[in-house]
Amino acid sequence: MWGDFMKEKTRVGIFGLTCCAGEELNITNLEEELVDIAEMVDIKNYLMVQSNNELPVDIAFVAGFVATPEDRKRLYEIRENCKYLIALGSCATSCGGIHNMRSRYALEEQYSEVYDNVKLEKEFAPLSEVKPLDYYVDVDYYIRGCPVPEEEILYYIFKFIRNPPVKNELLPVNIQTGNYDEVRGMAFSLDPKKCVVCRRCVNICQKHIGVGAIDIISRGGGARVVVSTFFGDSFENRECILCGQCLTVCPVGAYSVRNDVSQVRDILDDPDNFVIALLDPMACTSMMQHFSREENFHLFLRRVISSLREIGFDKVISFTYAYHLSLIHQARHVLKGDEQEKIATWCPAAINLIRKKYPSLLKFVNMETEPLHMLMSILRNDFGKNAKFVLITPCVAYKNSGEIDAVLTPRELRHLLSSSGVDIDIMAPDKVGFDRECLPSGMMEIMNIYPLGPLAESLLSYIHLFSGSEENIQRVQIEKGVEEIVIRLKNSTKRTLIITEPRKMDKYQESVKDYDYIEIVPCIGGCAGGGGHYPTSSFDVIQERRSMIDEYNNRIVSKLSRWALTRAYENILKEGFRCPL
Amino acid sequence: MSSIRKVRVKIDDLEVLADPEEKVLDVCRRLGIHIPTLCYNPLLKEERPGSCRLCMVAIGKGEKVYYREACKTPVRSGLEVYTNTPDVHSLRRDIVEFLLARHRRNCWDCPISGNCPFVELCRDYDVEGLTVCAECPLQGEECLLSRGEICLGPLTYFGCGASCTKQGHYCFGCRGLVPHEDIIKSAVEVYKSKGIDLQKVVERMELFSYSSGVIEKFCEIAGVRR
Amino acid sequence: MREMHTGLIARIEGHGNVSIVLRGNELENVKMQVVEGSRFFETLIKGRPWYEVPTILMRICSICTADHNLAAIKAVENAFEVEVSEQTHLLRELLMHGSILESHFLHIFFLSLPDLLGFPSALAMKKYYPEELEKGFRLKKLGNDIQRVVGGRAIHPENSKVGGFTSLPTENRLANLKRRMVSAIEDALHAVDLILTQDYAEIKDSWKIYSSLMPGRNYDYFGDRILLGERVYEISKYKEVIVESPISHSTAKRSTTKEGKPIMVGSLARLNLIWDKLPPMAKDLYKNSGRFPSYNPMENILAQAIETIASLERCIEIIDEILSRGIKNEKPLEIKPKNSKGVGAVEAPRGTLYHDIEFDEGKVKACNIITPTAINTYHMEEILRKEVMGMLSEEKSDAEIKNMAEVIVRAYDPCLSCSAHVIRVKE
Repeated sequence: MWGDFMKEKTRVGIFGLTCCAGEELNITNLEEELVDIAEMVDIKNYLMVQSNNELPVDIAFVAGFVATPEDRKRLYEIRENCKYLIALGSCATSCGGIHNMRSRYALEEQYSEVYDNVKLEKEFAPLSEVKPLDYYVDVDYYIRGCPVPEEEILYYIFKFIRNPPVKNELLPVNIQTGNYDEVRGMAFSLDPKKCVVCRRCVNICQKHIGVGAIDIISRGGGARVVVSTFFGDSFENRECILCGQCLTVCPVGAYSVRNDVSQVRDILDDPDNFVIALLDPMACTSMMQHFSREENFHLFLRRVISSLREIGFDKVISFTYAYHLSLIHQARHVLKGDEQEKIATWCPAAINLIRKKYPSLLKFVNMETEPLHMLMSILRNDFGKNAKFVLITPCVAYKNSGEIDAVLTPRELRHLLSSSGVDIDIMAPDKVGFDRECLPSGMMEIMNIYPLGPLAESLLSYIHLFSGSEENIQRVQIEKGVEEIVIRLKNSTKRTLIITEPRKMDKYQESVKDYDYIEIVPCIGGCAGGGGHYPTSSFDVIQERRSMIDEYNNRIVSKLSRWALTRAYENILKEGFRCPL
Repeated sequence: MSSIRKVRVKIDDLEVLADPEEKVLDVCRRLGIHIPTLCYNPLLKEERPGSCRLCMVAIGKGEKVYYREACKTPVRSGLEVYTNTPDVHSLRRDIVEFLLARHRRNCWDCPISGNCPFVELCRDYDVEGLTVCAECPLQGEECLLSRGEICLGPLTYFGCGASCTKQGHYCFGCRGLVPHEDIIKSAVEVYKSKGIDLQKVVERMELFSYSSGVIEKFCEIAGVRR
Repeated sequence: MREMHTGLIARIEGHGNVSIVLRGNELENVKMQVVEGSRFFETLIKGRPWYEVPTILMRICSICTADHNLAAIKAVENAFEVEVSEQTHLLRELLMHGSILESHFLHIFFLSLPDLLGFPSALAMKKYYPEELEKGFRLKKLGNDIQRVVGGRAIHPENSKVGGFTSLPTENRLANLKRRMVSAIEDALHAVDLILTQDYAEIKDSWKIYSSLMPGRNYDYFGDRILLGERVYEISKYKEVIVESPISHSTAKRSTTKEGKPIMVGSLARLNLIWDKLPPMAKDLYKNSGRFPSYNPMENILAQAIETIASLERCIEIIDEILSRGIKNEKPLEIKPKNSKGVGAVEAPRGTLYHDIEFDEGKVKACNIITPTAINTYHMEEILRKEVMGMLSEEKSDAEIKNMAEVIVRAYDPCLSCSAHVIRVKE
């Protein structure tokens, strides 16, 4: 039978005792798969669908509960004529499901209410007790549900065609000893009680980032091994750069982000506040992936914007402006050959890395060009004292920033919206889109484009714009995680270095003087792999997010007429974009 | 891929050609044969700690069989690998037991609920120790319990994909209540911490599981009467 | 005296047996035995709160699950005098049509067509009629998908609650459904043609007593009055239309008119009574078929096929209406329970379904349910009696008689699980 299933088909029977026939109908709902299944196995008994029904069978799926002596007889007959009996659905697996409630009242009372004093013929007179199938016969497997979800039925049928059923087991729970405190942090915390010591976070921190802020430690008298920082110190007090890659790889959810939802709710509830949302489009990608039934990213983003307005945000501004402000500024200075602007500042985790691990390189960093800082200095000026700012970003490192009043990751945003009764999928898309503040209109659209990392790519376009000349770009992958881009302009050559595996920075810290621009990207996949996205990540998921953003960018660019594009770039050249520095 | 020399291996009685630098896990992935993993990080493919032992496969048959992790075992000529024998199945089941036992199950507050690898493992290896909360993506503020609704998620067998809670209404335990004392205890604690009336929970449990022993146990632990 | 049994009849919902008792060559009795165990839904629901009522009652049956759900909700809303929003009305109509489509297509393609084409089951038809089988699956899937999109699940839709829906469909999904419906009409017309070309027995219903709900403007399966032949009744007076009494050979009770005559409900009854409300394409089919009004229960299958066309047309109209209004994020209404009684009625695929529930302090005090198949069983029995007598006089063999009995039972599309829990409230 099994193993030689090519020679002899497994015989399957689908039976229903007293029930609503839900499971039998469920199997017909498999539609095309049912036809395939009918070819792979021999369906010998299926009363709802065929008129030639016989026993014996190898596997019997039995739904329903035993309500009359007739049912009981049929059940015994099925058990004797099958090899494996599988209880299907709640009526069979757990004491009759909903029908069990009739045990609350005496049977005679109920019977006389229904049938007066008419005595039903003995075989269909009701039994006094409602019991699950395993009270009467041996059951080999339980498939639960009312109804059993369709995917489960399909899964189990295919599973049992290949291998005989192995009985379900209930396993021990929560046997860890000792009380291990959480490792708390400003941005995220770690719960050692959930850790299964898979070493994924330790490996990423040591081998990819090169920092090693967490390690496997034996804590407490119970000699239990967990992951923790040294001495259980909070993350930001140790070498951690707050990139959050440990969050994206943990398979068991031991890391959780600091929750700002109630803080934001308080901000929104205060009537004196003028609340501005800085929304990073990258944050919406993982929201759409995990939660939405929407398929068009642009529409989804518009729905998020209208949801934000619905719960009380007064303005919604795209956070991409901040990136562009920083890029434009840095492009100018890189062209001039400014030593102090050599290292990119758009990634807060990269700045933390330099500060904590390579402090000698700090002289190449101009902290004033940090994107959030630049944007906030404009906006705080424009909107005044009562303005409160909330940043919505997939970047966990921003949680530790003092510049902003609250930071929300995509998951928190969803909590905030759904606990206020807003269903993003049903909200009509916002007609306006992002609010256009502080910058003239044609340029707005360009500033809406999400500069896909490494941001050096966008930097290239600005360098081209400012240099005004034809350039020749050459990209060379020096080794895994390190890439060099050489830009030959009319009068000069600029060399940039992009490090996507921060550990390699150890090797290149001496060569900083040889380059004009250096960028470190701690998160795998750039911001698409940020620590604040919905966990857990894989390459496919990250790639999907990047393509959503690509589509979004293309849509903006395609809608801009050539005239508008040229005007916009002219404005940027003229420094009419209000650089705060 | 080295094009000079390929080795012949047998996986589940299927003959395949493999690159001598590959490991058994890579070959199986390439062929679409499913082997569960936990410590293998898809983002850092070269890092294979081999610490979770979930990818154990059987090498050889009968008396000379031995078990190795697929993620670290290199292929060699004539290797015979079986990925799904009954012994391998029960070995992996024990490992799932070990992993689950040291993991605190607070699915209602867990950031990856709805996307948790244990759910898949438990389903594949016929383990019933998780509850609906493990599959329900609503956590923390969004959890229906935080809104005062009496959801039986912490008590009910998992496997339905939490379809009811995802659509905004409470779970009423149609799949049956898990008869495990520790799970009932954690459930009582969650209900208490979210301020839910335990008497009402008992009433709700009666809908689908009137004569289940779980209700008695719950009443005992929670100190309420039916 | 000898007794013939058909055994458990295949390709119907539920378990039933026709028993034919002969004395010599004379027919002594014909019994339609519903052997499905009684499940006592009305007594088990006593004492449960009002919000659990749809959840419990929709598990009476799985094919007509959305119908029981909606009838229960209507009974509760009737008792508590709740007015729901227009959007909820439209979505409920859509859900109802989805249920009709699924049930009718299941019956036409999987339960009846094998009989008409001479196969033991639909799956066996794959080699000779692969296209029909594929069409059947596609159409049934459409009906199921409508229920999935609106109700959340194909079997036991939990989204539909007293006061509204807990989760709403997106515009995208409704638009996709509409596209599929437009192309499904062609497939469904093909089914109508197939049935029109088949021969089946000429049976005459001599009583011609049909009943259905009286709808509003359109051929929707809701209504607030009952039609019995020419007479009109308020829904709350359903007990004057249908009288029940328990019988010893079946767990379903016998339903008759006040005068003790058999009633037929279902697609045939609806087409006979309210055909003028049909949408245009279905109405043309009705007129051009030349078979209506019909008093042959076997035409029920053709009636069902015509109703599917009507449902597809109506669904497209309903979706257009919903999309033009835009979907609003409405949550189910707040409900204040009252001590009172309410009757909810819908036209299920097999006929009129009544739920009568009385509340006390928000909990169920008493409940009475009459299902369409229960109403039809007496009619079925009487027709069987006549036909068997006819066949005996023509000296047909036992096997032929038993086969005929099964075919007749199947034509009614009975749902025996529903019928076996009927109870009467002690006055």
